[in-house]
Amino acid sequence: MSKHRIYSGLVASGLVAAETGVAKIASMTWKDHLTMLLHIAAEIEHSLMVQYLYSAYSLGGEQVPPGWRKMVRSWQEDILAVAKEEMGHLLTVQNILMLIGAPINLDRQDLPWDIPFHPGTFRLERLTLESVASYVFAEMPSNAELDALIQTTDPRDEMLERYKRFKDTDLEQIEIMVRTRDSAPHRVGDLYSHLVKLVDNPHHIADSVFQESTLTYQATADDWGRGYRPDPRLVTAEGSYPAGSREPVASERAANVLIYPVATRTQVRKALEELSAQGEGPVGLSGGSVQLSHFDRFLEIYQELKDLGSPPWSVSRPVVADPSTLDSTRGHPGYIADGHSRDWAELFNLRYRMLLKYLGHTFRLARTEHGDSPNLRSMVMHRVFGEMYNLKAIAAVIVRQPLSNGSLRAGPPFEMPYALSLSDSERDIWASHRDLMSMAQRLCSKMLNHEDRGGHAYLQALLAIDHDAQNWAKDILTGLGSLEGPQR
Amino acid sequence: MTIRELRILPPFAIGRLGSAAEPLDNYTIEGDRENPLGFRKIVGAPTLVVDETSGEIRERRVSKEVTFKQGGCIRPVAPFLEVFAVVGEDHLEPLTLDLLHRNGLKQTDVSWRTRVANRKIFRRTDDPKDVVSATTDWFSNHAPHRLLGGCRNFISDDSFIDFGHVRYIKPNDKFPEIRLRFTPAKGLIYGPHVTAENPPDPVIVGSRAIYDSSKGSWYRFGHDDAEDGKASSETAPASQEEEEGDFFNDTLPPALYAIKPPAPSWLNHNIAISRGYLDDACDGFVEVRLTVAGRELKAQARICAGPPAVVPDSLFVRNLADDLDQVLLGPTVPDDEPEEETRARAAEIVRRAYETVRFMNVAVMNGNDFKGRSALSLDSMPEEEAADTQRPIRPVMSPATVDTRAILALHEQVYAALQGRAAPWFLRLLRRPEEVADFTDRGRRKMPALMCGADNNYLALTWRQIDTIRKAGEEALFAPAAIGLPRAPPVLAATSFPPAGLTPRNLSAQIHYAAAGNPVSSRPEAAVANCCPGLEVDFRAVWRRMFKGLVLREWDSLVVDVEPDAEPEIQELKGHRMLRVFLPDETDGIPVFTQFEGPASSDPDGKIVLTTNKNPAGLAPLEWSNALARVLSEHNGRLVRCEFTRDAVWSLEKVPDPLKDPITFRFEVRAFFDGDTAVISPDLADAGELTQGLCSPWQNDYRECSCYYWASARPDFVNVEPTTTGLSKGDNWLQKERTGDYVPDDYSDTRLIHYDDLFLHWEKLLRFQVGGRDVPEDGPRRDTGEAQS
Repeated sequence: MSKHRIYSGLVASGLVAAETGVAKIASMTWKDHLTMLLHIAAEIEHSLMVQYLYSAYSLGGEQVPPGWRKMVRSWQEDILAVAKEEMGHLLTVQNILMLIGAPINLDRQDLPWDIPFHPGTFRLERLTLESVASYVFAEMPSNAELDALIQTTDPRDEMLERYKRFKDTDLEQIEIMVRTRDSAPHRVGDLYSHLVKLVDNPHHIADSVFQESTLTYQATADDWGRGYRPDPRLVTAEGSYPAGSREPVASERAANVLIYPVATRTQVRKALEELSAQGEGPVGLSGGSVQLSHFDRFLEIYQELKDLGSPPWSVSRPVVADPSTLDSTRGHPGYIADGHSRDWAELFNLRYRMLLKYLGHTFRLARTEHGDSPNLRSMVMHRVFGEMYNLKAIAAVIVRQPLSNGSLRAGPPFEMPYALSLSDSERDIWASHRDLMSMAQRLCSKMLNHEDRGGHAYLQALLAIDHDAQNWAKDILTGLGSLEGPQR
Repeated sequence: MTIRELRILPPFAIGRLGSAAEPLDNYTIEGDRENPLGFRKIVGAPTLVVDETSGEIRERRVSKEVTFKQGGCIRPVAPFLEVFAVVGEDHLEPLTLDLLHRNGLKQTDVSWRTRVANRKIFRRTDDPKDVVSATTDWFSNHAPHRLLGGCRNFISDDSFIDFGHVRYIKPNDKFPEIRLRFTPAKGLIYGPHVTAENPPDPVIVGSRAIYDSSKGSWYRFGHDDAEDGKASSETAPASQEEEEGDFFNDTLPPALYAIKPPAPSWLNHNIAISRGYLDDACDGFVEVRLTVAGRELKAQARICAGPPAVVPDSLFVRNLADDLDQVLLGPTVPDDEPEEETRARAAEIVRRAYETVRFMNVAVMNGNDFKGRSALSLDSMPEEEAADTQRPIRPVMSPATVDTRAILALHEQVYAALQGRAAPWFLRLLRRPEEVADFTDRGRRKMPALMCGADNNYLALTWRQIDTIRKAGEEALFAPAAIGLPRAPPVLAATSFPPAGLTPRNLSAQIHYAAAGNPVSSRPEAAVANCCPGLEVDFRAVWRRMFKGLVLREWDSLVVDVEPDAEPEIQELKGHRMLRVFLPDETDGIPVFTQFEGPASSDPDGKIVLTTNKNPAGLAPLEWSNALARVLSEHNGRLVRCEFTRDAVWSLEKVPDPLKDPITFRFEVRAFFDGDTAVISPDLADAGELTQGLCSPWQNDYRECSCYYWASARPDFVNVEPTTTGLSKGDNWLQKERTGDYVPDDYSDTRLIHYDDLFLHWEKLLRFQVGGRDVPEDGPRRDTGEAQS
């Protein structure tokens, strides 16, 4: 039975609501239930990340007047920061899954509107007032939390006025906009509240569920954080903070990627609370640091965008909503009819698939390849980052390509691969990596035969990189031996 | 077309040592369209062949295959320096026979003079009689003029170091331009004269045993203070005060000279007793003179002679051209610079980054233990950091993640993304110049990583390079839809002649001018000069006299001298340390110091100031090139306020609270360039001063340098290949036998080339790298190509 059906049943029976306790169906254990909730959390983080990336990639274009470019740039930086932080959330959720001995989940539903807790219809769309409104709604605190926030925020903090304005006028308008799009939108915080309640309950989740030995295998900020952390805070020789010293701050509004390895129930609870706080939490409450929450960032963008009124120019490129490469979607407004643009979109999908595959593989390899020497897990991790750079580069090209004959532009479709599961044998996984690289090379070569509408230099560089990577995979396959031989 | 002024271009030409009879052919390096991420292609370019007898250019040929050695000897880089005339309002024209004739002049009316010096020994001993210098008289003929470096502490007036020669190339109908060629020395080592007390030294053959140890202190320098290898107080000038008397004006790194075994000094109780070696590297000036219509016109250019560029197809991530560009154009990129130009430069910076990474064993440089050996026993930046701060060694990146090919691939991926017009997203991951002494993980993991900068801390790019990345990132977001992407221009290709934009006022075009016949390795783009200490020159030396009246140490802000005509109150500043420079109307000074910071062991989110008994305030000098970028670009020739410690503090040990009660004075910021030319002003550095902080002999640096990043000159990891484990393997460049099994640096490991090996056989042992692999000893088959008329 799918988790969606299970949860739909629970919702229908009235057993699950944001304000109530937790409930499960009889045929599942509480650990099953926790696993299911974590899987939903992972999918939500994944979905949000993708939607935010799409929104960020849509921003800009030559139509933005020079005087407004700084603001548009800062919006993009803010949204990308949120997307990076969602990546941290996704990895932390995987860590918790490992801790409880559950399978990781990198999946994401393309059309997950029936998933309880999902903030809203999954929609890849360019940045507009309506789309930002839905992001604000997804990440906003509860009413009680908002009141507390207004009470506790320093009057000198410019966010205070924004919170008040939000409460007084924006919230109502946002709710109207969001409910026009989605009949039952949710706040992300609801799910985390449930998770915390469940984890906190030793009768449901026994101590024995938490396998601290998995800590060795879990994702860390050292490996995945890439410096997106706040500056350390100066400590005196006595081990205290100098009077008046500032809290650690993620400088210049940069992302603070929270990736928590977890070993105990308490740590899991803290991690979940931190993730939740980073989403909806007010300034000053996230990780004990002065850090803008996702809600703060989106609220700023919403209000600034609203204050812009209706200028004769757009803050984003005319990127289509919900782009698709599938033949079956011909006739759908998002179908990328332009063949050249569609090639780019398919290349994007392929690299997205490669990314997810590498990411899954790092978790698999973590159990066998760890320690303080350079190892294959880390090398595969570098490939994940390489693919992130590819997605960024390809998206930058796609949003400048035509959708069809009109003025709309294509967009990165983020279409999920047919399957994410890895083969059982290490050799087969590497063969699959090799094959995907080979496919990517064929696609690039084909695209290089087309007219250069921007991007051929990138494709040539990508071909060279893939060529090297393919040789690398082949060498590893050689090391793994023949199909009949011993396998790792 | 009256000749109004003269210029010599390039204004700074780099010669490279070698004993082969024939200088290195001209070549350029270009991106490979078929393999855009691969090594740059070495492409033969028109080589001017000088007739030994007549001194004129016999032919112009293009080599199909450039060879770097001949008969086991390295081919020297012998740059040409061309004379240009300022004619008309704003026009630079090559000075040719025709132009001379049109001005009623002939080729013999052109005179040349050269003066070069090697002050490396003087820099250590502080004995003016240890300066080795060579000058020529004015000459107008076309014979080679040898640069014979004499020294008062040599055994006789007839003893000299051969710094090479200069030659006024005889113009003819086919090659009518007025030019001079500097042919550097062979790369020989000179040393002490043999006496009853000084036994023969196998490195120093008789004719080169010319240093008189009875007159100078260089031989066995440091013997009477074996504790820290410094000069004895007896050698300090008698007039200095007591504290100053204890002071030894050390270089950074210290003891950069050949010492009696065991070496290096820092692994052997800091005993650094000099073997008395001198090398034939030098720097100085070439001057040209011409009298036009009764008016004497003069121009000059700088030359230097340094080690060969052994990785000719790669460039360092921050080279001398970057620093000169910053001086000339300022630390920021103007908003109106065309986007394509900025973007191409940003991509080029990333490309140079991965060209540098390629030659590093990243795992070892990261501070990982290696084959059971503690990282503390291997030279790397983390090891240096541990030694300097007296803290346990910590790898920089997560130790499991560091592998050369994997990190290289990641850099390549960034480069590829920029080709796709993705906005550079890594601005905040770049190390800012004031963060170089941030030894927290967050600080150390910034880019460029694992490498050393001019201040001996972690390397930062120039402010201008960083701003290039910023601007490229900001503009990509607003790029028009579906435009064709222009190709990045081929890097360092030969310029047209004369190049477009070459005007008297365009100093940038002059600095980057590629003279006919000069290979890339003669240009600032190929120079690893602003490092610690640098290689071709020690660029840090140019900042010493930046503030009129003061002489600062090249690597920190200690006032080691004052100029004789300085005001009395300025005379009192000797021994004080400059702390900040205040620009007019600004209340926040520009610090020339920062503090070492590192992780708080008790708090993962905390950091502490790293202090030691020797450095109780944890002071870390900042390299001048970045620290003074704004001062220079905005206040050249103007007065600025400088802040100093109230007291003389010769040793950092005596500076517990540097900012307490400071004193301030105003100084004029000296012009960096000489007049309206692109020549680094002689007021900033005289002949020999740009190389005085370098190793003596330079071969020592190849053995001792713990930076290992000089992609173009001192690679670490070569012949790198993937393996079936997914990790990289390769050789240490200084490994005698190529096994594919990297031998970690260990001064006592006989598998590695040792000091004396290099002193005796450096030309054989230093192997050129092309395409990341050893060039076969005999070199590729040489094809002299077709002669061009």
